[in-house]
Amino acid sequence: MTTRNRRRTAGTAVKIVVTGPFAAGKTTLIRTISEITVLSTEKGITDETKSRKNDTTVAMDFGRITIDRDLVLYLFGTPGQDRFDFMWEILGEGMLGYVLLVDASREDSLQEAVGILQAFRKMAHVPFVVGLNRAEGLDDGDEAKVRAALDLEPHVPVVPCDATDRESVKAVLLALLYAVVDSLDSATAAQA
Amino acid sequence: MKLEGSLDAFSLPDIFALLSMTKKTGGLHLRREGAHGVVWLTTGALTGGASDVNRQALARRLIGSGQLSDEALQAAIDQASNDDSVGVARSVQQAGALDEGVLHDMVSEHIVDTVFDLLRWPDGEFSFSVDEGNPDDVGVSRQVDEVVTEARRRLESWGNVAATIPSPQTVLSLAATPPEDPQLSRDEWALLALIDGQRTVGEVVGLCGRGDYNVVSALADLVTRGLLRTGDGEDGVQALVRRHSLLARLECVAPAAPAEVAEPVATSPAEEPEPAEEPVAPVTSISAPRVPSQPVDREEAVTPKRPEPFLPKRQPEHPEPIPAALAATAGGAAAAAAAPSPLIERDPSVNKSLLLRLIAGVRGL
Repeated sequence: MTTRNRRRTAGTAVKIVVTGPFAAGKTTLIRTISEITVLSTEKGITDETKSRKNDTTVAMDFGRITIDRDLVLYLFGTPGQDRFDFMWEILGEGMLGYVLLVDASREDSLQEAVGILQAFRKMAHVPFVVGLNRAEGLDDGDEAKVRAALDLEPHVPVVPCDATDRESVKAVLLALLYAVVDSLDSATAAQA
Repeated sequence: MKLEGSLDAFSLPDIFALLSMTKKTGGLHLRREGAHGVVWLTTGALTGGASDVNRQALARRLIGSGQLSDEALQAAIDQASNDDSVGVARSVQQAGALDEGVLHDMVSEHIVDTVFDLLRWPDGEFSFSVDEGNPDDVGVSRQVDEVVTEARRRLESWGNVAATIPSPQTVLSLAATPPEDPQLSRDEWALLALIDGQRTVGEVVGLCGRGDYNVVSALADLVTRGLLRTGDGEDGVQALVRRHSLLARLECVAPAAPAEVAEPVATSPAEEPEPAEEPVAPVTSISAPRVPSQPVDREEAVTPKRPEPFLPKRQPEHPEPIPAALAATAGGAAAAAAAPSPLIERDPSVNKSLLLRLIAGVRGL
């Protein structure tokens, strides 16, 4: 297919992906911070996971934060059920980094997160943070347990959060943005 | 799975961003009262569309180019009539009836025009049909961010254009006495040839096939340069005739038949011949006006007055110029196809300055 491009100055759009196990709170997190009605492609659940929630994301969630007139941050949420994992690579392309959201109140959520993180690490060399949703009552020991389970390097932030709280979600995004800055600085230093 | 919703909640640039980022192929349909438009995408890039599916805007553009023979046009229309999956443009391409480069340029411009038209919709509903084919896919694809940026640039200047030509119903007439010797391009001349004091701007746009923005902007420029005049008040020819009529009582000349200006009756664009066949407007040939037996009735001025405004310039609730960075995403499509499963790396266009702006922006939420 012939492409006839006419480049003109355009604004900038950047993308952050929110991934994580089924029912970790990804859609909620994006809805909490997005300035638009989040486009969620949800379907009713018919399998055994229905006991956890009624609907699940089957393709993606899509939210937006306008930073400035010429700068927009898009949030893409991945489907939680692994039979939709073909979407991950599509959604991940061009991303700044990603948030791995885990339901800290459920052991199985952490176990699912292990596989998802392995897949993302294999797929993408970009910074990420781990968000621990529903993390009330967690202590340092719990965080260490998460780090161990996910085999996280020390520089990877683990941020307790509440996906329904705007300030908490902001903290997660800021942690990721700072991680990207650090990554950029490291890359620059390595080149020098 | 369906992708559909309201443009109130989800703007067109957002939808484009989503479809581009996810490299979707299919038809994005937009509907509002009495209107139905469509834009087709292939792996997230725009390949064609129509702001009104009931009209053959792209085919009109091909006709307006003056480079398509009657035979080729008829053959293409016949094929498109018999096969829903092939449009006039693709049929023309398959027949080799038009230079490939010219065809691509026209389709490329048509895509921008379509998006520009659809961006002016103040409301509506959208739905995306996955894998719906573009019947006029001639191999042109435009990146979403470029097209949206260009369409937005046009929207910004559209206010000035609409101030000069406030409505598609505006009727223009030639200025009998331009302020200076006119200098015109061929395209401008072709436009002037269509100005007859009766045809509306909308009809002229339809005849040219070059899209609202290009034609109306060019007409507004001609108005600004004093070569064309909008409908309000007496036009130059009428003034000339009126003044000559003042001499009537001094001249013993049998009154001529009422000045029936040799202007064609306004017809629908579909009935009009190609612009090239139009008689050239007599810019400087008003030398012997017929004197009417009675003064011209000013109330029956040729130009109707009704500045019904164009659709208002759309003011998206979110002023962001979309997806530049998506270029990296969508632009990677071809590369992705060539090199399967590349590892996703940090976008090299992301720099510290951008990140600090993002951080400040998120902090300020």
